[in-house]
Amino acid sequence: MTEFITDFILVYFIALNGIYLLLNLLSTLSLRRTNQLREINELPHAHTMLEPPISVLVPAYNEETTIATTVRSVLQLTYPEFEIVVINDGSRNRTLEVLQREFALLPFPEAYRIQLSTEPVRGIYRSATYPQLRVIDKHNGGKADSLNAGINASRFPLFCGVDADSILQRNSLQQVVQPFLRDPRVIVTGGTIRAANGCEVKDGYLTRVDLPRHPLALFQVVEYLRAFLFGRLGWSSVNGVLIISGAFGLFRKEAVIEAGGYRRNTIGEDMELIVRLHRHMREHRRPYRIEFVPDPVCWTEVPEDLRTLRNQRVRWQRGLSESLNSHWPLMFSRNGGWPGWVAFPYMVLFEWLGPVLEFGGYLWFVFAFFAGLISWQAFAVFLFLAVGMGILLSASGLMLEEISFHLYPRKRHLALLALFVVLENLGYRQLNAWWRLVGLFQWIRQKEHQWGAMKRKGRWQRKP
Amino acid sequence: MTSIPARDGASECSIYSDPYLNLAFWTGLGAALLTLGIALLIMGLRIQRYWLDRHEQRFQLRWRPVLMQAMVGAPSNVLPALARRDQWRFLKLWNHMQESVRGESTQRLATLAEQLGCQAMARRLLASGSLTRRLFAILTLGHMRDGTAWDLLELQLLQPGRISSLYAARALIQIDLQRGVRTVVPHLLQRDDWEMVRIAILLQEFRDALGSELTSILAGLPAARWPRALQLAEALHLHVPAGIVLPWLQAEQPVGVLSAALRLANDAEVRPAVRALAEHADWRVRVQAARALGRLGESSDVAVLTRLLSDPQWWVRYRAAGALAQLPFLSAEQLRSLLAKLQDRYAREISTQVFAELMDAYL
Repeated sequence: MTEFITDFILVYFIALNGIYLLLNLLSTLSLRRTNQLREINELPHAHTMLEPPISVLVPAYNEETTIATTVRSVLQLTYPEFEIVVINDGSRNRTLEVLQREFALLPFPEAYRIQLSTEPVRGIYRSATYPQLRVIDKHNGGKADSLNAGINASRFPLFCGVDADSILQRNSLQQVVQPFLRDPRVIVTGGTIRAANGCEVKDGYLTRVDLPRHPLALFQVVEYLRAFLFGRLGWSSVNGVLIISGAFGLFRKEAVIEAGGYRRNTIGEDMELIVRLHRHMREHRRPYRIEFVPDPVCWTEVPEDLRTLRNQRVRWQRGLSESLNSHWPLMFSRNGGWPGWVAFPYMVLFEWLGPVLEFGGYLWFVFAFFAGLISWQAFAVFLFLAVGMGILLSASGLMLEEISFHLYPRKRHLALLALFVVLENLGYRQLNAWWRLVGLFQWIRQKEHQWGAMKRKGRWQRKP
Repeated sequence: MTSIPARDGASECSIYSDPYLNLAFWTGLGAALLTLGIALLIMGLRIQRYWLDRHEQRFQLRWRPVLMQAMVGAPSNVLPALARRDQWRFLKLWNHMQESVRGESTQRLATLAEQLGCQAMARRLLASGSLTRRLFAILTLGHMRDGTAWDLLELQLLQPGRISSLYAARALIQIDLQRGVRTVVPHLLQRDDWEMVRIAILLQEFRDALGSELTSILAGLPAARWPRALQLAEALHLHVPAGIVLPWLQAEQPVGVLSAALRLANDAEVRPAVRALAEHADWRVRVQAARALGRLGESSDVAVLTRLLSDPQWWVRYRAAGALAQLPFLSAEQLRSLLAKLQDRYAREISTQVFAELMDAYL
């Protein structure tokens, strides 16, 4: 039995990291293709006016500290035609007042169209200074409910969900709309999210990229590089992306409404929608693409205290569990393709059950070693494999960043990132596995969900 | 499988006795070696980037003023020598400037490139395995209006590559407008792999010539190619004569064709056909009909648009209200009075919203 468990855990770790390496390879090829056209695409050219107009939806709950900066950041986007719809989801603090004061909001006689049912709307406002900005004030119903209200109020065929604590690159819409222009089958695109901690933001615009000072934030910088640059990009090349971050995603409104909009009473509404869209399109045998754009388009403040980070990770794991559990029929379905036959089973085995096997693996080896069930060599080999593969994967994320975007150009940046690539595997990852395990446990207990309370510092904001 | 050696067991031996541990060990070792390789690669990339950046700065300091002077018509008497290692850099910078300017400056830049032997450089790059280099080669030959490269570029036009063939199409038109347009237009209608946005970016400046050629063949085009032709006309903002648009505005046409044709309807002659389509069963057609009436409508169309304000589809109501506000002969006062007379709740709500949206511009 000891032998079986030990071998099983070893094989699991090898398989998990083998898949990551495969994704890494796919991402490298994809980035190579993107890089080939980058210089041509960067040549100066005028807008063609063929770019579809976009509604940017910003759901906000108790975001009084960051909402004005976020809206200013969205207002500065370089895109031919877009509108901003902020949805105040019954905030208990001064979010609405801040918006009213900063953007001169006036009540607006909107013929509000209910395509997706939501909590009642209390009022609709339009900015007197920025006519493209409207604010929907509604009763509290959660993030998904807010996004649905935003979809109802939106005018344009594409909508982009943006988290209220996000800072966008000026050309972010231009970047994420490209797949829509290239291929009419595209229904969703997402871009890379980076940690804003340590960066400088002025008037809602990112003015200087730097690394955070806090070790927890630095771990997350490395983590985001790995997750976005080879996790999602790798899956995108085979149309198998199952997560587009809620912090920044562009959707074809018609497809989302047809699939029923965002699901309320779920934590991972962003992932759930993507999995549902895959399932819906495949069940109806409709051609579609869900693509990931590697360019860094959105910067977000990551938690710098253990409690907030823990809550975030627990929430993510619960969201993942809900999303997968709601869509079992996609797995191995007749028309499932890559999402049903590869991406979904991968998610189940390595992301959903991953924490059990990962954390359990560590626990088992420690127990077996101290109980004298395995030799010190076996224990050492396990650590060598688990930590070694982890470092390799994080290092490859850093390599992809180096060859593609090179956002951290200074020597100090590289040294710090290299250090955290190693350190991340000596405690942080294991802690993460534990939190995910807690998330899984909470999901099994079906604990009530709520808006993720995020402790924000907003230190990167410079007062205008 | 051999058993895993116990810590204190007599059988404790090397890890090589268990195949899974063996595999784990070698995988770990492989990971460590790969990590080392990646670390070296990153450091190598950093060093390379450092030297390349320094060289780029020196190159820019030397060549940017030369190109700027040439652009404004005051070329340097003695051109600096263009080192072989700088040729690729020069072509990129030169093309960047070509894409930024119009008129005489482009010709002046072309003359400078000729003096520096850029044709030969571009021809060499055309055989390169790198798509980026091939594209810059095609761009260069086009900007230089190098007639001797016609056959080479026509060959590129026929290649399956969706990007390089489109850039070749543009280069051919740059070299010889009439001949280029005649050569390219059939491809524009056939090559569905050419992205409409890229077509618009690259060919918009030749839209008059392309428009004449396209309209001359539109009438005889098989129905299967109509959607593509309509997309092209829209992307290039072509003015399509009423005589050509009218057959596409017949109610029996597919919804896609009707919607696109309505977007192209800009002449008074098509007004009756547009008016008829305001009653079409498909709401997507009615939306476009409302928008077209906003551009073309006359006083009798106010009734048609007012009726559309009560349409079951929100978008039709929205566009109809927008169209009414857009009609040049309706004053703000008349719009207010129209709004006051509306009985239907939906019509009233949408009109109030749209008139409020457009308040700054119209009321």
